Amino acid sequence: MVILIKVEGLFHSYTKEKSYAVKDISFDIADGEVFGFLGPSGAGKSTTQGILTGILPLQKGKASVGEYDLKKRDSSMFNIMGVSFEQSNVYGKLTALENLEFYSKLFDVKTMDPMELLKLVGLDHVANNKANTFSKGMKHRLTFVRSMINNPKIWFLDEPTTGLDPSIASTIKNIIRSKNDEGATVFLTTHNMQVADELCDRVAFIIDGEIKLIDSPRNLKLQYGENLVNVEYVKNNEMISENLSLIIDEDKIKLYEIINNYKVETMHTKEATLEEIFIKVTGRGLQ
Amino acid sequence: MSKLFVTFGKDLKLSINGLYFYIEIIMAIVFIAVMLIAVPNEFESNYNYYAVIDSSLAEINVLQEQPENMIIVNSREELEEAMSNDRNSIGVSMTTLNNTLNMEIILQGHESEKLRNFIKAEIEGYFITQEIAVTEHIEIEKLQEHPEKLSDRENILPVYLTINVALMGLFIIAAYIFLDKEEGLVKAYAVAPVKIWSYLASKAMVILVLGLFTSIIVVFSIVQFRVNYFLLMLMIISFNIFGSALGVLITSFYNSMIKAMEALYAVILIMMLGSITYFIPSFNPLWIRVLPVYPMLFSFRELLLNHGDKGYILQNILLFLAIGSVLFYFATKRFEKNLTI
Repeated sequence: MVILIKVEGLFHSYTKEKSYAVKDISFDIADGEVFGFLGPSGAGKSTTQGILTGILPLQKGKASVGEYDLKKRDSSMFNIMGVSFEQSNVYGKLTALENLEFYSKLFDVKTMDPMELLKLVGLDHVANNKANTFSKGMKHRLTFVRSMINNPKIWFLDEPTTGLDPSIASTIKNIIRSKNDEGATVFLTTHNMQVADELCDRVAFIIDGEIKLIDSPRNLKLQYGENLVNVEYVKNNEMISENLSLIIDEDKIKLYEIINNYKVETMHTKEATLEEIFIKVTGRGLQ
Repeated sequence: MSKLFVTFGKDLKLSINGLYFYIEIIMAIVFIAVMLIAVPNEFESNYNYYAVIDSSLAEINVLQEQPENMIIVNSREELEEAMSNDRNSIGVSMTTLNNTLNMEIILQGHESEKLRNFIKAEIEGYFITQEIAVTEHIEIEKLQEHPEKLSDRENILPVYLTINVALMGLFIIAAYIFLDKEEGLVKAYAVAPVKIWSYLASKAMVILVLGLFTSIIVVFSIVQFRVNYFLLMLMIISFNIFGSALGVLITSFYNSMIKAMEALYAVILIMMLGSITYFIPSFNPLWIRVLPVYPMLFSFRELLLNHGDKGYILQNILLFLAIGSVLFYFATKRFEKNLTI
């Protein structure tokens, strides 16, 4: 397993070490992995991403991205890296196409066709419109596709689906999956547990600048979930809904009887959601 | 280097789409209009007279009535020193030799023939009494062999050029940087494989292009082909690099536009003190002469003179290029650490 991002004992302070936004965090991300960094606002997610993308200085601890040690700034690192920001930051006075064309000329590696990128996120019809005429969601999509213009090997995404309607959000998630299938390693920062659950191979829960746990969503659900089945069935012309354990023998027998004797309308496994697990682990919500 | 020009192309396009670009051009046009329409080439002359009167004439009332703008001095040396400090003055020396009253009029040298005749007539009116029978002998002497004085209209040009080329850059580059920071554009640029210096240099180049364009049209409108435009461009480039580099360096110490503006405003005000000597040449202490605006103003002045000192101009071009480069280096080093914070 090749490690692409390595972080050891990372600290960061905005207040000259009076308090830390990030405290002694360590983690590795393997090549090809989608790693979710989950936590509420102010938890230290964006600070960590800022350090890993060179936007914030590395104050204390060690961090490397690919072959680049973040202690020394080397701008060539950005040829293999893509960064999408939570706040859209495109040139409002340039058109969508001009924004991407300008950005593509800054790279030393082969870049993607700007029009193709705009098509990917449904902005091709407004390619020649100035970005300051765009809605917030459109600007967000433009920021998102700009981050993939250099076919990044390591892709940092900060809240990539925030503020997007479900259909566009689904398109964005599909693009992330597809790039990951092509080999991109993704560092996903979000407070949206559903997105993390759908996309991530592993997630880290961060709160108050500290990582509380790192594991795969599946392992977390197995460890913290209750393994229930919710079944709705019709008995004597009456709709009945029951939660039955898949571990307790008595419940297993009852489930078997229901399936054999009654008309089952719906049946769902009741896994714990990542959000429920997060609250259980950290004692805090995500907002 | 190609990334610098790509960034510069983008910044220039953004500037052309912005308001400041047009404000600068409109200001240049307004300045030209005011200079050509409202400002006469020469304001009405209001000379001071310095006079030295030989002791042998003390008992004779040679001066019918001492005008308000006449100052009597004790010696020829004192007269010349006073005139050197006051470029808007004329000297008169009255002596007698073999019963002949000699009147020597000492001029700065830049006075026109018409003005000389007027001065001569005026002075005669002050001094020659009806009662004294004298043989008049008047000589006119110039203080400098190639003396020059800019016309009143041209005299304002160095001030405009210094403000337009060097001082505006301080403010504008700070505004460009903080605007980019506010909109998160600096961060987007910082995560591309580019150097911070190319980001800063690109902004400075936009300001330089605008400074070159507006300065050249203003100078051409007022003095046409009477200046060396190659030297003018070198001066604009050098002084502009200095101004922008200083602006970037000051900006690098602040994280908000307001705080940076306070500092920039203070620096500009201090630098502008250098212009006092430009208008009052007799006041030229060392602390004023070391302020950057002083050599800038006088370099532009030398450029506008017919026999200006090219050595002085070139020396200042090199000096400000060197200082500007050093300031830009330090500003880049600082911004490498804190531009995106």
